[in-house]
Amino acid sequence: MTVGTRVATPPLVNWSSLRRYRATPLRLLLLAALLAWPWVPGLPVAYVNDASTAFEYALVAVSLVLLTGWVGQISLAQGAFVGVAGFTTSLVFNHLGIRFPFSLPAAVAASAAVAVMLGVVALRVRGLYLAVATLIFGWMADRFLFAASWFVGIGGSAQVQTPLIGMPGTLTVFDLYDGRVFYWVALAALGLGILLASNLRDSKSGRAFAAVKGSEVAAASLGIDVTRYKLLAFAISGGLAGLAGNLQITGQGSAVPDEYNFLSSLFFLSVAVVGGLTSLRGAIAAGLLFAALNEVFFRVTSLNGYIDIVSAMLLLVVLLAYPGGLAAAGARVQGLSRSLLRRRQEPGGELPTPREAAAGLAVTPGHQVAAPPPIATDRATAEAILEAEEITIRFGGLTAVDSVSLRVNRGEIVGLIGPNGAGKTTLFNAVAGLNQPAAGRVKLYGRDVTNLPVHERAALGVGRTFQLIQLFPEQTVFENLLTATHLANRTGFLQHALLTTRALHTEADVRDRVHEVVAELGMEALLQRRVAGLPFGVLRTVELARALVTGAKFVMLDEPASGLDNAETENLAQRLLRLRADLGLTILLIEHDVPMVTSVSDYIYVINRGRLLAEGTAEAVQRNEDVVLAYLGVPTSAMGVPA
Amino acid sequence: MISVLAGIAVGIALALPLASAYALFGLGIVVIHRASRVLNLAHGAIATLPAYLLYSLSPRIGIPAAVLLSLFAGGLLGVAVERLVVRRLRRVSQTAQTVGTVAVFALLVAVMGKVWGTNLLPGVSLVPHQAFRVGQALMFTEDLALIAASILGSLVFFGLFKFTHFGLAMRLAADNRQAASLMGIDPDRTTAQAWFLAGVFAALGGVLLAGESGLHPYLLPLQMLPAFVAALLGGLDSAFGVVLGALVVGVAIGIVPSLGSIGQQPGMPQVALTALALVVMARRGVRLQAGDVRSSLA
Repeated sequence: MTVGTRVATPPLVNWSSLRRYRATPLRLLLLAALLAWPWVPGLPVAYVNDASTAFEYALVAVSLVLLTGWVGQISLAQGAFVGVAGFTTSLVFNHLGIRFPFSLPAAVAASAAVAVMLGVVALRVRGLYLAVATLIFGWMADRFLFAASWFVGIGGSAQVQTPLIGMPGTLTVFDLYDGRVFYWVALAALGLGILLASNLRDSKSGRAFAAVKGSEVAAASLGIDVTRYKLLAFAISGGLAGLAGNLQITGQGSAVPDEYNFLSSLFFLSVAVVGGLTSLRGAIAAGLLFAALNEVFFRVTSLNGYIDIVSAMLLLVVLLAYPGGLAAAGARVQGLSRSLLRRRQEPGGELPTPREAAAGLAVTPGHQVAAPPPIATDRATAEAILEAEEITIRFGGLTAVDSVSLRVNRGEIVGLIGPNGAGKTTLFNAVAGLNQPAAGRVKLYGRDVTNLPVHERAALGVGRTFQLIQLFPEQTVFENLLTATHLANRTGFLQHALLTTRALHTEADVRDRVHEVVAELGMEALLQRRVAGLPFGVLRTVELARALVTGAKFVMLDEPASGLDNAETENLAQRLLRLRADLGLTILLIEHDVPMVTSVSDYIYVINRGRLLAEGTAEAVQRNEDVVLAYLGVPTSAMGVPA
Repeated sequence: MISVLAGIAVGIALALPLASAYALFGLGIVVIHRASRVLNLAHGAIATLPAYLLYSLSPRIGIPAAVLLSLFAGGLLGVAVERLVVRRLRRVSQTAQTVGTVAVFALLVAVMGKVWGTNLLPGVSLVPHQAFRVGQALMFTEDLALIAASILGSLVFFGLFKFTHFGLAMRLAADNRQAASLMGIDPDRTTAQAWFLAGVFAALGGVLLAGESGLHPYLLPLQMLPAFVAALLGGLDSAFGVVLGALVVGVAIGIVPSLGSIGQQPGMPQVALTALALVVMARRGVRLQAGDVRSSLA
């Protein structure tokens, strides 16, 4: 990407994504305590086993944090995933003699595969329908899979033999019957799950997950394959739940179907929600809490039988009074201790006000805009970026766009105007891939894309903004922009999960890319601000910046000036001209603001009632009688003009 | 061949009472979805508590009074769930609301387990117990009561939607509270009415079902999971659709076991229904569409 101004020497590799693995004294202490727990003198072995159970709960909670918290796919069948893994473990043991840890891949693969099956459903349905679908799926697993004797064993109970790993009598022997040994195995499994999940969270994959949750349409417009990431999330989530299921049956030595029914799915959801649903630490804390509650209510006779009531109350209280769950409580304690200890301020803690931040966005009036490339006298022979040929779009019986053709050549700014309801956005969405035309073809960069999905069109180098702004409101401006580096980042999810050097280097590169666009638009002061709460004009600029970060050379703007005041609109016009000069952009814009469009556009298409009314240069279109009539609201037929 | 057909007929006859119960539950799920845009996973528990109340109250105040009280309690329970949980989570997210109903489910089930124990208790039959033959099927008066109740319930619903503005008001209250207020509709009251109605219907279904299959704090609520399948098949929004869906679900559960040896495997009706539900959902469109563009900053 060639950019006018370069940022002053960015660090070669930004190791900030590694920072969470720094060994602080507190963390080392915590780790030592975790490792030493089974050796506390006089500790009943039940407490060691409780901790192992807590780790299993936490693992399932982590699987839900990933799927529901990060990707926004609600699952009421997580218990079924755990069960599939558990019974697969017993199946491979009883038929093939495979024991832990070698049964683990089979168990994880089985639950991941089942989760992906459910993921296929999630491709088609969203929200409450997905909740019902997972519910039905869990019900089916309960009644069919966990009732089938070939799967769960005869008599409704599956047995596995807990193995001795290594050679008896030597040092390298692990007897999993020993609760302490099993404790470490469970701890290691949880550690692995957490590491995997947290590596993913701060990577390209994690950002794609968040984008799918935030707005699937926006995600696709940034080149994110929503299908792929949804299935990936289901697979990882099912695999993590499967890890827990494999451990559980190995530790217990047996399992019965009732452990994995609908109620267990609800229980795991409760653990994840009490933890905060988006936080890994919260998931661990909630796992520990629920295991501890189980033990306390079991030990204290007067409390016997109240555990379910208390867990349900806990869930209700967290939901109603403390939506952040244990994670938020933890953050609060941390903040409190920080302020008590009078630690130094967080770097970047002082944020500019939105007004101050937005001030940087103004295009300097004196800035010289390079002369636009001369428009080819014959547009039909110039290099076309977009060719929409006789597009017709129907919704039921309504023809919203009727055989309209558009052409945008390299380096042009083309305006698409028309009264409300003319079909501008509908046509626009057909170009982007959100509407399937009933007839006609769309070509981008000379390639027929009529049947390509949204994200593949984006990958060709097409960026867009939305009339209804589709930013991710809970994220900062920087995070929003970073999500748009998806296409430029060629690393895969395994590299993210394992945090390879290549993944880190690429991460540093794409961050530079964000900073380049930020410098071009003068947005430095805004970067750490959360998007929600920013002024409208700023949001429009952020969305434009996000489209630019994708590296698109062709940008489609859907009413970029709506909601802006006069100064902001003037600023936008200047900005578009400057972006074309600096970055060599080609721009198609829909606008209501006719003076603004005519001031920047090389060529203008006017549509009304789904039909092309006129096309030509700004002057030609402004003189066109039909256009004037359409904008005055007089029906053209009444004026004797053929419709 | 004839024996297979006869088996299917018997299966359908035996499935009708269950389908009726699903219809009663499903109507409630649909009404709640229309009024609050929420999937009420607590519905099964809301249905079960009145059945327990009837069990405890009927020896003291007699069956008719106890039935009325239980149904009323079901309605109140519905209103309480809406007021205390669902409404408060409206500003958070739809997921939070759904999880909120999960919490209510868990709480009610736990409380019932503590108060009445986790043994199967005999339900109170509202009609004199009597068996009779319908063709080759052996049916009981309780079955007829369920069928009659669901037909009556459906009629009440259609009447409400057809002859009053209730259905429209409910939808408006759910989708745009401000506009509803401007139209002279009290959205809070409309929503409360919807939940009350759903609660009463759930209670009716629960009481009648308990009379057949007994009372259990977990098993009775779980028995109504198929009602969600019915609601899904019907599209979550249509009263007519859910009754039809309940019929499909009930009949599938009834006849799949009579379709040869594969059908007799445990869980085969569930597999068939899951497949059916998937097909229905698959028809809802796969690609991202322009309609998916929603305001993310509202």
